[in-house]
Amino acid sequence: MKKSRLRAHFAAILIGTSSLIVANGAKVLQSAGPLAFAPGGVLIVADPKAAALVSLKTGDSAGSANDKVNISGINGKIAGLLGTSPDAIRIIDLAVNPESHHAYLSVARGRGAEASAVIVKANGDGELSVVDLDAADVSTVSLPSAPADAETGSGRRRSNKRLESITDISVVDGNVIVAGLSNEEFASTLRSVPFPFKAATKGASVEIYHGAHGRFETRSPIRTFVPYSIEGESHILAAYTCTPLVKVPVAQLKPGAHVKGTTIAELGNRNRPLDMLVYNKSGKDWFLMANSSRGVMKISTNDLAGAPSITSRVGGGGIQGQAFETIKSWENVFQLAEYDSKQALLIQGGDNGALNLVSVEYP
Amino acid sequence: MIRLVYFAAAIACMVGSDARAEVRAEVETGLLAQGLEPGSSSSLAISLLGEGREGVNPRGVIVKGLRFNTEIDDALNLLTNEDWSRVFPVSVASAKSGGIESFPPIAGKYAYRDEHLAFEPLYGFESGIPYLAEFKLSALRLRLSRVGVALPSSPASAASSDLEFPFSLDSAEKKGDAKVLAVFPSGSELPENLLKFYLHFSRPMSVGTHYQYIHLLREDGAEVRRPFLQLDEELWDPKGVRLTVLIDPGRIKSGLLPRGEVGAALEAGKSFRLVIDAAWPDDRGAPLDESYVKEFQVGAPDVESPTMSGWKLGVPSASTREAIVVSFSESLDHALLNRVVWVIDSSGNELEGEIVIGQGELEWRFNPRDPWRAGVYQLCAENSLEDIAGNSLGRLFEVDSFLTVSRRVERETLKRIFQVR
Repeated sequence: MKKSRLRAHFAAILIGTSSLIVANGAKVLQSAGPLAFAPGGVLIVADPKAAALVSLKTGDSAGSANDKVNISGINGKIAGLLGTSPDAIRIIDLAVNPESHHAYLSVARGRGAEASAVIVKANGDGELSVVDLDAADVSTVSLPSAPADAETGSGRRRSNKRLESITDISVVDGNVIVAGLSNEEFASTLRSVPFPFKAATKGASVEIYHGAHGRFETRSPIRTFVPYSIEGESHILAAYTCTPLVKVPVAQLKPGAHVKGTTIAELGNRNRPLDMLVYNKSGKDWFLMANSSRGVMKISTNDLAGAPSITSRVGGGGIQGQAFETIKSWENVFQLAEYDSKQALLIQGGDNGALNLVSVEYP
Repeated sequence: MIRLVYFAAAIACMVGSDARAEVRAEVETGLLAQGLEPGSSSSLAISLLGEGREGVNPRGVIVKGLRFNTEIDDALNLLTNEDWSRVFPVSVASAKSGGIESFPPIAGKYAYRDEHLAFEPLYGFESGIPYLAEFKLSALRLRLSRVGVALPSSPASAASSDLEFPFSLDSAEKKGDAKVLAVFPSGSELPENLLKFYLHFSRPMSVGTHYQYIHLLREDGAEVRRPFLQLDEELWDPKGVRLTVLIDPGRIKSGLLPRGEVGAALEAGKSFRLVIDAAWPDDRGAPLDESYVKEFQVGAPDVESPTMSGWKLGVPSASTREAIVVSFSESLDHALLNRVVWVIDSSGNELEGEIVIGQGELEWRFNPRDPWRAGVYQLCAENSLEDIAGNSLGRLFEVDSFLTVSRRVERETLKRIFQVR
């Protein structure tokens, strides 16, 4: 009798105390996609399932105690933190808070569509914690949808299975630029959403073409991109799924615009770009690009303004344009982020399926 | 029965002078507790906190019998969640037993009240995973000492000061019952420049590894290498039951590197098989009930946009709920036919009803919920409607910029009028 009374009493405590009711109610994130940092330690998370961007003030401004990061088996450790096995989590993206140099990872916990969206923070001591989204100062904006969605909003037709995946986001000149890809019509979009988010924000939806490959234009989806200023003008350098590197002036990303990017490099076939960053070493800027099968490339930024557009088919080795070298020692790199002015933070594949989070000096 | 040494002296109100107490594991129905048996002593005990119903995992873990004097009790109320995670960590146990590495405590919330300390994980416990809950008196002593409160010391050895409670939840047998319901396009002859497949499943599937389970085979059984566009994001529908698999555009379009060097994925005049492995796990980790094979012939590339004026309309009679039947001269995109084609009445209101897509996606039928009335209706389609090669009502998949193709097409709705008599 006493036992059951005690238990009932305690259950009541658990239910009755709001701070103990966890992972319930309205979720801040339906899914956790690509990450980016805006000034002031504000983390921006793309939520593809909700077709939204979520910004949250991390309040994380104290610098890391360590000047190096080395967390081996971070996938296993995150799985442990989330009470599950490594095969039931997926690390989606990595971003570093430039104010604290702490790493933030977007993680899906679960195997299917109902996976929980989790943001995990890793500090310099290798300590992992779950970012409390319910307690965070959060603001959300819906992505400007294609007009098609507004018309199907009546619910009279079959359930809408349309979903746009978000391949990358980046903060440029007070805007969040979002690259997306629909699961139905073959449309690759680039949107620009003003930040901080406002309630009625409607961003630009543009189609990007690149004029490579002879006279044909293509609508291939943008896989990853970085902002970069060329002669004072903001651009994005975008890598497509079939690896050409294209520059697009940010000023042209206006609603409804038909923007044609310029192909500045062909980096080889049978390859999938994974992630990019820009760094400065010895007074010179470089791009780093991680690839599925061609390693990490260090790409020159020389003469980007006047770089000739590649307009004819690239034969033979399939490489043309901006000079680059492959960094031999950086193998199995899945994620790249700027850690500080001297080091990149990588997620690198190790033995037995382990993923390691390591800081490495720029090449 | 396992007996762990326990500090009687540490707990002010502990009954009896024996420094030994039993760890009592209260095992809920359907739960498996390892190495522990129920005891009878009223002492410190760790147990699972849950409903005990079949199929319902416990919500958390609880330590009972924390009887302290008021001073200690007050100090305990000041401990943070972080402090408690050191005192009462609950973690995944598997790697720990191998001594290779330690897993961090599972993220969750702690509550201390009325002689009880409870832990609830943020994301629940999973079946089949070994967990370990540890109550560490040494860690508790350390934390209390920081606020100037001392736990009475124990006569027992320090090594046995921790209370351990390993547990795991019954692992339901992973019996595969997920099926491939359909693959679109459903036709048996597909164009060389086919853009995508839709795979429909009977339940949500696991995400993130699908390329290893989908194969495109030639007539001789040889596998086409990397025919599909590999996207980390994977193009699932919101429920996780439909996957869009794009054929690598680089192996469709003219002039792109992959096609130039490794050829097109599909070749006209040949037959292919799309194979979905039975090993593909669903969202619970259970495999498909069987593999799925779609055989098809490949025909000439489709380089023309579909046109609405070419559609044949079979108009129903007034006062019936017969379907309007729209026939196409080529297969159109299954998903888009369900989303971007509809009927409006003379007032511009969209009709409610049911869409049925015919075999080969050559026909779109619409049965209205209410009978047709005599008068004018309009069949509407967005110009984003594509054929199976990605050519839409608005534009071709591949634009030849030397020709005067309209290169800027806004989204718009195209219409055909029909009269019901």
